[in-house]
Amino acid sequence: MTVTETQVLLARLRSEGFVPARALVGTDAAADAAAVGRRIVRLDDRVCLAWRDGFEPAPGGPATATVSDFAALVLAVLLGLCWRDPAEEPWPGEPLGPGAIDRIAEILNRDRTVVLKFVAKLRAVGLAEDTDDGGLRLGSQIATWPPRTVAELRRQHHLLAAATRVFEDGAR
Amino acid sequence: MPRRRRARTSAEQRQLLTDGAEVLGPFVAPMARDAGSVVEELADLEVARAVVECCCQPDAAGGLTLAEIAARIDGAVDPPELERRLNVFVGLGMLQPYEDRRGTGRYVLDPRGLAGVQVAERITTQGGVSELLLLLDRTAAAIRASAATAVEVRAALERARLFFSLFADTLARKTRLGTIAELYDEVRGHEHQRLLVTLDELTKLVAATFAELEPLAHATLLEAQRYDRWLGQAAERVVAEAGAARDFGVLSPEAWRTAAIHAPWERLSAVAETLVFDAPAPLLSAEQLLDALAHWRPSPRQRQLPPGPQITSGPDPLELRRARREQRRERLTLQAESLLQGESSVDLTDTLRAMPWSAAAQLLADTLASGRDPIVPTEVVIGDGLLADPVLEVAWCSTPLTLSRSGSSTATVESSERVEVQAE
Repeated sequence: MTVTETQVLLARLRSEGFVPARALVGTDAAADAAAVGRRIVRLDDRVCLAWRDGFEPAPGGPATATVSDFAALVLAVLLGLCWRDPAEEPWPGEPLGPGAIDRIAEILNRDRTVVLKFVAKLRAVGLAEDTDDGGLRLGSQIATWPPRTVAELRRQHHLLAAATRVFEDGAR
Repeated sequence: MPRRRRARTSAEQRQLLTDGAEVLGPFVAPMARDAGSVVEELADLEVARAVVECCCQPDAAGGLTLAEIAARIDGAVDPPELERRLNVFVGLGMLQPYEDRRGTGRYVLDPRGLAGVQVAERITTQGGVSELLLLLDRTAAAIRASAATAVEVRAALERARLFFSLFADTLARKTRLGTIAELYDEVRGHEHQRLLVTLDELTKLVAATFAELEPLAHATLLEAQRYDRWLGQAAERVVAEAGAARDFGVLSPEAWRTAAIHAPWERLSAVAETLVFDAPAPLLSAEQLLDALAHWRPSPRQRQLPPGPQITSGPDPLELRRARREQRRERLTLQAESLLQGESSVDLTDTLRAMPWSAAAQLLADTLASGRDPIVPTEVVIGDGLLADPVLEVAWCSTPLTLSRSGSSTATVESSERVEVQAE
């Protein structure tokens, strides 16, 4: 079996997560990825693999990495804080300053150590990232979300944005 | 001068032999007329096994015709091939004519045919190991039962030594020259056998019973140990080469299953050390995010406690309070003594009327306080009369206002403190 350069590139993408965007020059990686239900997503100067719409694993399918309900809640709040304009793509969004953890803890009315723990989980799977100034922003894994997921969140964006305000008001 | 014919190599020999001849040939050779008398395929044994099985059924006691046998095998074998094999079985007497009044078209199975099929099965699967084990067991049982003579035991030991020698030579040859598949087949034939343990027991029995045969038993044991060494080397080669080649076919499905269940996880995980795979991205749907928001209810905030009192260092405030109270009590006593002027009782009405209003109020308050204090030995009684004079600052007052000495006080300090607190 002859292994092509593109196949090696796709294997690198799967095993390493990212490769420099310039590595794709002159290859047919996009077509090869599409043939196996994937698409290539560009993040600044890197690229990564994402599922094509309709090819993502079924929720009821074989067990794979999942996110707990509270981690999903923390992410929803982070998304509501960072993704201000639904006309834009959710990633990269607006970074939160150094008080990001305290702010999320205040919104959820939970101790900051609890929030810190779940943010660490999100960070481990690429759904949240630290900023240089000690703040927080959305992780690059969000750029790989299937278009239908982003479209649904865009439709319900008002809930994301309003939820943080409701929590803040309700907590007072 | 005629040229000597070159001996065949083992590879050439294998190419000449068919599947069946390779396995069964050495066993059948002592009885065969020529090299072509062995079945070509091991699958032909299945035909014999099927014929034996249908002839052993209870309803076959009266014999079966060849057509009935063919019908019972039910198309599992090609009909012309089945007919050819049945003719062989009849020709060699494995199927014996069952002669009765109904004719000679019916056949029954000769018991030696059943034994032959079983022996062939053992030869194909275990290569004679069972025969050796049977020989050792039977000899040991005969010695225990005192039914064996020295001649019989000697013969059995020599035969066992020959078996071990042949097994060792075969394993050595296949370990050096054989393919992994051949070697694995050979090793599998020796799995789970208790040859060495049984031989060890037999050797002890021989030494105890026939001391003159002990050297022969020892020589047999040495040959058995040589066999065991070659068996170990053969197994090592199978594991090393098949492992390096990722050849899953060298182990049976049951062996893989056993390894998966019982092998240490470190050994199992080592298999995937060099595999490349991607870490799975977490599955997160829009519904999950929105559900998390919809079902989240912030818990009510806890009521915060007021800050704790700031305790400063200094004199005890209670002691200060007691000291102030004693001073006041002393002042009231002195004031009462001053008003009484040594008398036991005095009317203070005129004294009050002669004073400015504010001074009169202060004196009246002090006098009433001394009257209420159980420690200060005075009593105060206010009469029902009323004096009014608009010219004076104290324009009116009750009369008489009698201050009198009350003698010794019976009240305790505690009750006085209680009264003090109530007054405040």
